[in-house]
Amino acid sequence: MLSVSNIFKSFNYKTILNDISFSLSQGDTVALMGKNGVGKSTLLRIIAKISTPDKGDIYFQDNNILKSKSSTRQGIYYCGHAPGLYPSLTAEENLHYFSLFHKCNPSSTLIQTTLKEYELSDALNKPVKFYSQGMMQRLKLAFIEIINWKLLLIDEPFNGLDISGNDFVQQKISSWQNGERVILFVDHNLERAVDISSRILLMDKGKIAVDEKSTENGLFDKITRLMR
Amino acid sequence: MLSVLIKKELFVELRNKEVVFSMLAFGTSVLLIFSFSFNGNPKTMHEIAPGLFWTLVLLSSSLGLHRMFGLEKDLDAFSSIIASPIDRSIIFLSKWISGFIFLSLTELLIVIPFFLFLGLSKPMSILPGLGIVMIGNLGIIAVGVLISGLGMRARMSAVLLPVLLFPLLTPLLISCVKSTAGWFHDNPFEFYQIWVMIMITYVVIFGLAGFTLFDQITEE
Repeated sequence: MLSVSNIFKSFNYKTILNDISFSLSQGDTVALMGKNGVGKSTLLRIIAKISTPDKGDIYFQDNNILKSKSSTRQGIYYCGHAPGLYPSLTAEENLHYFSLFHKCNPSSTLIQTTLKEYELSDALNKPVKFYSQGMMQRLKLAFIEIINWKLLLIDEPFNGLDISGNDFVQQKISSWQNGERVILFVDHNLERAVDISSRILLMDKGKIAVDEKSTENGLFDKITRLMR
Repeated sequence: MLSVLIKKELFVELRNKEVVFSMLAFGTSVLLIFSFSFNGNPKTMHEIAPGLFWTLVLLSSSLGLHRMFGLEKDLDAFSSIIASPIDRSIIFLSKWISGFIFLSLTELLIVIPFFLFLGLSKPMSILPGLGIVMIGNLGIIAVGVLISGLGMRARMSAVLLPVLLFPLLTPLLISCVKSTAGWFHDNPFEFYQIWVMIMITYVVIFGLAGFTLFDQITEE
């Protein structure tokens, strides 16, 4: 479904991504790991076409998304570090507009049910600028329920969540995977990543240093050694 | 999709009231300063009024343009939009059209005080003036959206905007002032037609540049 080939990216003459290549197939839930500043978020932003690589190609459903029309990116949903919301709009209004941008038109009932499930119904009519970090994180995740996607790029989904929030998101990631979708998420917690994902990609020195199934023997030690 | 994006821009502005209000408040303050500073005879006022009007529009619009993009920078809504499957040329068009609406609305509210405070007499025909102002607005916003998009990722975007915007707008503003002066003096259209043509050319060039380059401009 997604093929990333020979991606190079530099910032201020410093190479961040140095010939990154990998492929993801339907049903993959992949954890992208690596030390801080190794380029995980940059890679996600390049796949989402927010950032441009210096070199390389990205194919999503056989279309080179870096060179073809924006409609070929239909089905890719990027959930970044930042909330990515309009501060003065309410949760429902934000959901409404961003769903339309992704060519979905959810009913008001669906939006309200989803917000209730994410424990945001009390703040339904509040502009999101008044939300706490945890509430914004939950709202970002609520978008994933509403928007139709095939490839989900999610940057540190557990950031800013308490223990119950962590468990909730962990369950959600498992429930989002229906065997036909691809989830690529960034995480720093190895135990959790192994639990949720089917495959682990570890970035080191701008390259993919480890690309193995989560069930692989000795994976834990290998990753711990490289992450230190 | 264009209509959805424009609707969103108008809705966000309706909720915030930041773009139009900041332009209006700033424009009114500048207008008051002008009216107290240039307390000359009506003939002199009539001569300098076109220049004053476009100075007022330029300063107010730079403030509005900064807010238009600033609202999307606060929680990085801009990244969410450009990550959506929407042509970025359509995003440019929506910003251009909504910016044009905001600027025209501000001018509509400021034009009567402008004539009153500066003691100006109304030109015989309103239509040519309206046309000149609309073309001028389109040009200012086209360049403004292009520059704001460029400065979106820059740390000092508030500084970058006027530094790049003002020199780029100089040819357009000269044409705006010259054609407005022609209209103010009730000259026949043929007298200032060339300036209007330059304005239209400017709008077409920068409109097309924004439409085709916004994709590259907005990427990191």
